[in-house]
Amino acid sequence: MQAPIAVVQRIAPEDQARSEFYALLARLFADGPDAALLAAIAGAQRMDAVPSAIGEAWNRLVDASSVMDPEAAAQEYTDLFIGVGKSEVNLHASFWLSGFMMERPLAGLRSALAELGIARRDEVAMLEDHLSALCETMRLLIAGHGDRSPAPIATQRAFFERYIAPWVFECCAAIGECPIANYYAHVAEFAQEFVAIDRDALAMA
Amino acid sequence: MTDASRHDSSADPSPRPQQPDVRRRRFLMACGVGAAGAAAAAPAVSGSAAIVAPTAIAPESKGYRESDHVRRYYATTRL
Repeated sequence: MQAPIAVVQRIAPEDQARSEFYALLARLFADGPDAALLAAIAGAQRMDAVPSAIGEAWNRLVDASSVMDPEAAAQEYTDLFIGVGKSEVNLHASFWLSGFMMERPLAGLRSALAELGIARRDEVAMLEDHLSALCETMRLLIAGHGDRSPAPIATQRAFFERYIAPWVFECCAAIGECPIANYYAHVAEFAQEFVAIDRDALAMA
Repeated sequence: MTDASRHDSSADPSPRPQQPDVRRRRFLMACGVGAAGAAAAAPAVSGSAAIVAPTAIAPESKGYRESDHVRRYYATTRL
């Protein structure tokens, strides 16, 4: 028996928020923010309701976005993350997990994605183990897409624990410690706080 | 296909919030991720993510798409 129509799956508000934060991180780690994105973050609500580390990190990102120049942000992204042997911080999981690009972690990730029914779009040059792609995968697992249903929490947790948790904190710490990091120090700080909360939340379910 | 089947039979294919999930959601909310703190920020965040036209990744799903055989598989599991 087949469902007569595609049902729009509703997800809890907390999961909606998770998917949106992952989407934002996916975008920020894919490329420097343009003027529209900076303005949108600068205009976003601050997190002042409950004093918290993530709230403070978020508010600093909001403040930084209000004064950041898009061209400077693009340059900073390039200096930090782009360039062969030149980038300050590598955003690929395989680098952090094996010390080399394109090593076994990437191969394992590709089959895991295939099993989840997720594949890199043909026109995309970004490798699957890039932090941006992994955040985008989390978004897709959490919120679904089109007639794709959200993935069960167990699936989200397994993917997160295997491919993101082992290295993302070290990577974000490296961004924060990098002398040339300015705007991205705030992005990394927020990423660290958010991902730590999601790690603990996923461990509960 | 066998891999995908095994994977999904190990977990409830229904994405609806389950009872054991309540603790997780309460925790998220208490941390500010959810209705309490982030919900106010979420629309703007969501909007900002939608505004952008990433150069490296396509806007529709920003990097990833479902493979057709698994989309069909999902369709058959939705009874």
